[in-house]
Order: sequence, then C-alpha cells, then structure tokens
Amino acid sequence: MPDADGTEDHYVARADLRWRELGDDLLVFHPVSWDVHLLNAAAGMVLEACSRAPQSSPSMAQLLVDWLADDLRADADGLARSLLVDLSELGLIVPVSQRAGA
Amino acid sequence: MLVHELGVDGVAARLRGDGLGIDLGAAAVCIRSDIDELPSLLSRLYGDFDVAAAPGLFDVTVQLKVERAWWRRLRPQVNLWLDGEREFEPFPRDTPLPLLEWGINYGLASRLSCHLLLHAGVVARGDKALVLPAMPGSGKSTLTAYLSRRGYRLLSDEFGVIRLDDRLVLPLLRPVALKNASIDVLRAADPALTLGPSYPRTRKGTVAHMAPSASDARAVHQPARPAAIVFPQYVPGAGAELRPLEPARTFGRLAVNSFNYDVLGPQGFEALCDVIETTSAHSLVYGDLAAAVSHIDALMAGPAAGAEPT
Repeated sequence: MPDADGTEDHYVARADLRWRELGDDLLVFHPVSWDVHLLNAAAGMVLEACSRAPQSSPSMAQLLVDWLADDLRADADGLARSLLVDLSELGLIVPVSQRAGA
Repeated sequence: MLVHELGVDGVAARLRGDGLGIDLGAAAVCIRSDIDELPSLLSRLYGDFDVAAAPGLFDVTVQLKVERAWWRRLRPQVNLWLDGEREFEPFPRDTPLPLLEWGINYGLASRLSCHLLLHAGVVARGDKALVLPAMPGSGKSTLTAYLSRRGYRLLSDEFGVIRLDDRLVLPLLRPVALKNASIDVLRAADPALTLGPSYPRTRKGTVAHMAPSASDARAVHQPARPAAIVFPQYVPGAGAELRPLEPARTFGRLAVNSFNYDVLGPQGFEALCDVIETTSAHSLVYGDLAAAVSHIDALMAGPAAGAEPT
C-alpha cells in the first residue's frame, strides 16, 4: 500500500498480542478486544514476520513467493497486500507511522 | 462431619437457621430453606458430603423460601434468593429440589471466576481426568453418570473446573440431574443407585437426581490432570463413534462451552491453550452407552490420553 509519496507503508505486529500454535493453526488473542483469531499458515507467517521487523507489501510478497505452490506464485503480491490489509483491519498489525499502540 | 450424620432433624434445623453448609470441593455452598421436604432429600443426596461450618464464608448462599402471602395458597410458590438478592420472579412450589440445584448451578456459574469453568461433566481414572463438554441435551449427564458407575470417579456433572494456577481439574461434586429416559437407564445400570424423587413437568421434562458415591464425595479435594476431552452427542440408534478433533477446533468448542471464558480474557485463553496442548480431543456420537464406554476406556488407557506436562 503505497503512501502519498509513493513509498510502501511498513507494518509491525502489536507488541502485546498473545499467540499460540495449536496443531497447524495459529491462535491470536487480541489484548484489547479479547477476540481470538484463527490464522491460516500464510497469515500466521505474515504476522510472525511483522513481529520480528517492520514489513511492507513487497517484502511480504518475497517471503510468500518462496512458500507458495508454483501456480500461486504469480499472485504473491496480491496475497501479501490482502493479508496485510486483513491483519491491519483486525488490529493485529499497525502501520509503523501509527506505532504508538503497538 | 458428614451431612447424613446430622440426621434429618439436624439438617432441618440448619436449613431454617444459619444454613446448611456443604463442601463441594472447588466451592462451598450454604443452603437455607423452610421447605418441609428438603431436609430428607438433602440428607439422602448430599449425605456423604462434608458439612461446612455456617455461618462462614461460602461461594454461594442459596435460599428457597415459601411465599407466605394468603393469595398464594391456591398456587403455592417459592422465592429463590442468591447471596441475599432475589434475582428472579417466584417459582412454582412443586419442584423444590430441581429449583435448588438450578439455583446453585446459576450461582456457581456466575460467581466462581477464580477458575476457568467449562460446561462439562468430568470423571477420572486414577489421576487422569476425562472432560466431557457439551451443550444441554447432548447426553452429557447420562454418559457422565454411567461412567461413574463403571469404575470412573465422578468429579462433576456440570462444571469442568480448571484451576488457573496449575491447569488441574478440581472436583465440584453435586448430585447428577438425570432427565427422562436416562433415569431408567441408570437405574438399570446400577440398582443400588441412590436416586431422589422424579419431578415431572420441569423445563427439561422429568428430572431425578442421582447421589454421588461415598468414595467420590470423600475425594472432592483430589484434583486430576486433564488427560482427554470428549464432546459427546447422543443420537438415538447410533452405535458409538469417536473422532479426533483438530486443536484449533477444540479451542472454539471449549470456549463456547465455557461459563466464564469471556470474563477471564487472557487468563482463559492461556488456560484453554494449555489444556488443549496436553490432552487429546475427540467428538463422540453415541446411541449405545456400553459401546461409548468401551471407546472411552480404550482412549483413557492409551497414550493419546494426556501427555505429561513438560
């Protein structure tokens, strides 16, 4: 998601999330809403990457491209963008520019 | 001192005085009432429980009091008081025991938030607990009661009490409320069963209460380690089929079957995850109790039933 100046926004995971791997799934507890989110492997990978360092849509696409099946690699950009939007809407990641609550 | 050692007159005196305190394990309740038939019923169904001194500190105080107004004589009613508050409109006078038991359940479910409370039956073999969470009408009580007559220790018919400190399951023992056909099924399974009277026309049909065994009542302060979780579903005519459940799906089903998961927030989340990580989880569709029990026996004897916590 490019900013007004054309640069890509970067995202970080909220620092106060609680998460647990149960089987192949990742359960994430949101500390404010107390909602629990069940993330699939791709979303979990993005969230974990965002917890290690700020991530942009291109950096996430690069991560996903190595993991996706051959026939899905062409859409890695779209998937990365979509996952960042979804996780951001859930309040699990925040843009670095709004990092105060993270 | 045990409740039956008070004698019916002694129980009656306590019910009309400071209250009859009963130690249920994870909680203690105080019961007060002026209803004539309750002393003998409580002596029978709670006879092997320890008396808790009253006045004292109780998790819930329940009072059933007959409505004395003259216009109530045609349709007698009782009032249910919880911790000194009358939270409900009066109830019909003819089902005092189901009302008392329901009142205790309501009080415990809404007040005992120092533990994670699952709506579940719990039995144990040795120190390994089998948790049977289920929605009403799923055959949970029947299966729990039946297991308690087949070599399993009964910890609770209604509450899976997970202690937050160590994730152990605490007994919260009460008489088991059997409904409709289950009453005869259990009577046939164990003719020596101590049963209270059958109450027809309750909200759940005919209800009768089964007293826990004396050995179960003596063990109300022995926790057990959660080893297996089984979600039962009674389907008439079915045999018995046990299917493994994915951990994430188990989480969702346990959270839905919890009385206070939403109250505990992060503590509830961590406790549920810990329990799921150290247990095996299955769904059980059953119509044949004996077949269901043999599946459960095999599950509890096998390695899947509860890895030792690391």
